[in-house]
Amino acid sequence: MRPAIVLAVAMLALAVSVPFVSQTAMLIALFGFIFSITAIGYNIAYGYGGMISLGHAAFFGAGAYTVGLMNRHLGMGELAVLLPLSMAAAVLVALPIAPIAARLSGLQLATALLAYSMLYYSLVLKLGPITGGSDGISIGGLAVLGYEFPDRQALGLFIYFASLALTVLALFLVKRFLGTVGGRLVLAARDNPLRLEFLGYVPARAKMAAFLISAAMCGLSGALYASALQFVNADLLYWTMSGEILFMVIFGGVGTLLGPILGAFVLSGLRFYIATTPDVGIYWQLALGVIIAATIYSAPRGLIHSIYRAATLIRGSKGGGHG
Amino acid sequence: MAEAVIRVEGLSKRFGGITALNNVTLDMRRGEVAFIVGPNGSGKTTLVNVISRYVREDAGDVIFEGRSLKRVNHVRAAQMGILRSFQHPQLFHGLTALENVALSLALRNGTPRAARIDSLRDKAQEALETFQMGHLADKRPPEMSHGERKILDIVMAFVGRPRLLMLDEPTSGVSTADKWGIMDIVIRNAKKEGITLLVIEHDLDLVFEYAENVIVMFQGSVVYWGPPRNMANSERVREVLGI
Repeated sequence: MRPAIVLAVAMLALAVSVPFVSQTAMLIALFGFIFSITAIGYNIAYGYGGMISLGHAAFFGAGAYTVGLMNRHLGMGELAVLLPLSMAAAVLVALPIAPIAARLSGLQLATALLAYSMLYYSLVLKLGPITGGSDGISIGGLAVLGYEFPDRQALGLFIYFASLALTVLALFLVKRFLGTVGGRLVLAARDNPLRLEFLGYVPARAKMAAFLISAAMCGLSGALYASALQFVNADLLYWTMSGEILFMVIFGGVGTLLGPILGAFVLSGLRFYIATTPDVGIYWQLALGVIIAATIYSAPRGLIHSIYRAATLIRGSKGGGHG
Repeated sequence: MAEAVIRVEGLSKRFGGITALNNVTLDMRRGEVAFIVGPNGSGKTTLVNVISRYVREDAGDVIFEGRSLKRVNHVRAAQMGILRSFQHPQLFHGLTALENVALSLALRNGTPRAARIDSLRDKAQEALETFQMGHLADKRPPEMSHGERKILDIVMAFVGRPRLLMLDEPTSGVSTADKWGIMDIVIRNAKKEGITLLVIEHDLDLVFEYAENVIVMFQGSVVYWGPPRNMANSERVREVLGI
């Protein structure tokens, strides 16, 4: 069997066993998987589509608020409905800006999306009676296919395995998508949009598709996040959230399959450490800044590339020994 | 007389104070191989840019297969079969040579977006083989030489089944030995497919060898348009080209 398959099976076995081994590890991994879906989604727009965004919090938040609002106002707790709905809501939020996002690039694009996402942040704060304003919304009575979770632990366990399964599914689908004509068009639109035009194709189409898929995945992960915490507030829509998503992808490896997952797990681990260690909270931004700077300096292509390089070196030295 | 595939009538274009095209009129019949020559800044690339609809003329018209292209942009022009390569190769550097070609094929054939890019592997490989690039199928453009990238750029245009193919200096930056090889393959395949070919070229030896008609440009104007054998008879051409 190929080493990569052995490693994948081992990782999967580890992931499945985590909840039965350590509650703390499960909590870290739970948010690791949720943010993996966010980061994989973000990577489709940025890594593959070349669209750098500081506004993906809007799509993450759209998913989270779909669960919150439907729960608060309609008493809906059925996740089999809420999760797909949250993806649709995120796409709906992304739709007005998608044609613009597909035509801008670089700093212009990042700031346009930042401004767009902040509109939703202000909207949520202004519409307090509906959205709960800065207090947010508490979520209760969540169920799946009619089965209501008896306690937080059961819900957590479900969200954990759902997020794990969805991460694996997302990986599989992204890999498959990249092998299609459509997937290659997204990469081509990133590499050389003008050339695509001279082959008779409008690159903005591929970019828009990538952007909307990306938004849908962020919406889904936002819904999982809100469900896991049973709470949603406006912080999820704030631009720093977009920055954190971007950081996960840069840290892990832009435009790679596994990099975003790695980044998501590292950030979730850090978040957990900050949240559970007294007097560290105020240093969070400082710590993040130092880590970002150090990462970009030492592993500019992301941690996953450093791991690949190390693996190649080890394999190379082994090969040398035999030769 | 054979039908004109492309006709330009009274084309003029100015960039600020510079006249890039000055009342240019010419046409090409189906399957014709014509070369544009002239010193730098004589309007060769502007002419190709206007025909491919990347640049809009100030006056005049471009008529492709009997239809005015006044309201046609470069994307639509490509869809209609006006394809081109570039002085600086325009490639997708994240894709392999094979995928670059396969994508062009997919767009030309209207392959469903959900289809695997691998489904076009054989045809793309065949196209690369035709241009003696088969061994580079799995290389990405940054791993290729300048000459190889230029050929890949041409292959991408070729597989799009152009009705008019325009090549902007296909042999610039390529060694003298390779120039003849490239041009030979290009002309042979264009002839085989019946493609109308317009080539911007500096190397007059190549032009004399392969051109059916030559367009000599200087300061935006056409100073000669006709078969290469009569070129040297014109004092103006000798002056412009320094021959």
